Amino acid sequence: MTRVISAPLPKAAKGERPFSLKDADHERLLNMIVALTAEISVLQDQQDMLTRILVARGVATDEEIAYFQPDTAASAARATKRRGLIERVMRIIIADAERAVRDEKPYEDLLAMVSSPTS
Amino acid sequence: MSEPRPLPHAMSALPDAAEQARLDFAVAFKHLLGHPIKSALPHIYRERAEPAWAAQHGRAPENWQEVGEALSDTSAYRWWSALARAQQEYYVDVTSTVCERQLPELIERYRAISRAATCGTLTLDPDLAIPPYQSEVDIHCVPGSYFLERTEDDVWAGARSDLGSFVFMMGGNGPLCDDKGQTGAAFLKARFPDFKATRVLDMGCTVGMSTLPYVDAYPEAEVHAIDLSAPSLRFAHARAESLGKAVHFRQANAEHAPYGDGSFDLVVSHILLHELSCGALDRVLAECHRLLRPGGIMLHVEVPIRRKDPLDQFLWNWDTTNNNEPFWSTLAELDLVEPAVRAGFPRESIFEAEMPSLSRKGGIWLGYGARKAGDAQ
Repeated sequence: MTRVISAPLPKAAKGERPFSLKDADHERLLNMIVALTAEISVLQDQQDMLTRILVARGVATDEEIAYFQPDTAASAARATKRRGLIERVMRIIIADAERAVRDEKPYEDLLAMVSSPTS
Repeated sequence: MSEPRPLPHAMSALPDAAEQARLDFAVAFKHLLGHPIKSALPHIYRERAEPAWAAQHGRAPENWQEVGEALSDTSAYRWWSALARAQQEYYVDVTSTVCERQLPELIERYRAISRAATCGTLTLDPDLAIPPYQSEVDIHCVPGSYFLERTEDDVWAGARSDLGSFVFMMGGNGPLCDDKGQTGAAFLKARFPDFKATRVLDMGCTVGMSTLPYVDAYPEAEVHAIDLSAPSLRFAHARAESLGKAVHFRQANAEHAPYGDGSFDLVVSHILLHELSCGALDRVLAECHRLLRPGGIMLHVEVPIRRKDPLDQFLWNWDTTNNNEPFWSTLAELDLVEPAVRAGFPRESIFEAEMPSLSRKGGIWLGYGARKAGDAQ
């Protein structure tokens, strides 16, 4: 069997990250908004799918859905999903932290290197 | 309108409903960035950026660098650029985690398929050195690039590239994402109708998307493909087997490929050149010449990086500094005739052509190539 992969996927691509907006912090927030908008879009799709399935099969009423109480296993599953959501939304901050502890060449040096006839 | 979907094969990483919703969002968002956001930039440039720059300098911008300086001063460009980078990082992150979730299963599938392989082969070289133009930067902003290996028989980078290429092109390269290979093969058939190939080499094949069309285009030929990335090649091997296409994959550097002089009739590559460096480009072209038999043909399929309009060129060059493509704009301005002459190709055989895409209406690929001197057949 495949061994358990213990190292997490990196979130920062090697290479200095450019910022287009004048204030880099605004751009960080922009990235969060993009990810959050995506999650709203995902929820919209899922809610639509579930509602249609439940109604079509006569499984649950609106009231039952509104007052649903998760059990322990369901709560744990929700916690895992919640963590994934936060990691997606906060990705750029996680990536900044990864880059901060990494010894990386400035991008200018890289451009000079590949343009050199002796590269 | 429903989103296009890739044609699944035995190695496909399959998004679940929530992941698919994220990918659908990424594609819808990218469409929006193209139009109406990016499509408004030429208007904003003409109306505001160019006059403002001209007032300051006493003349209009004359090249893509000056055009870029002028446009970068507008809030519209900065927001589009910021959003485009955010979209790139977002879709890379989603495709990465889709493949991460399924990695143990994908590795098992790779092992089962490669054990039962009947048509092609896979030869890896664990000692192969990764050249600095690939190791110093994660191209396309993919953390780990093509070289992340965290477990035995890792195929993650290949799986991500397979899924990611489809989403990046928003389905525009066809259900198997093989438009570059299909277009290149069709171009060769039209330009060299009598050309026959018994041995074909694809350089920088990644997961073999563009390699497979040559198996069909030259049914008599033995098709070989090389790449630096072991995870991509494992994936490519299992993918080709599952699609019933015979390809011999090998981990090797296109600057010094482990094959004899004159051992191929046709050497091709697809969007490889813009991932190199000036020095490596010379060495790859020299290697193409060495590997070809007399009369053999070299064809490199590239993105259409040469733009006539400086504004268009500046917007095309966005990838250089914003999508970890450090060689992109250097290649866009490089004369490609002299390097091929230095490599040994006859000057009159060297060509650069716009090749219409077979999958995307109005789409173009740049075809750059040459024919080695000697007996044509």
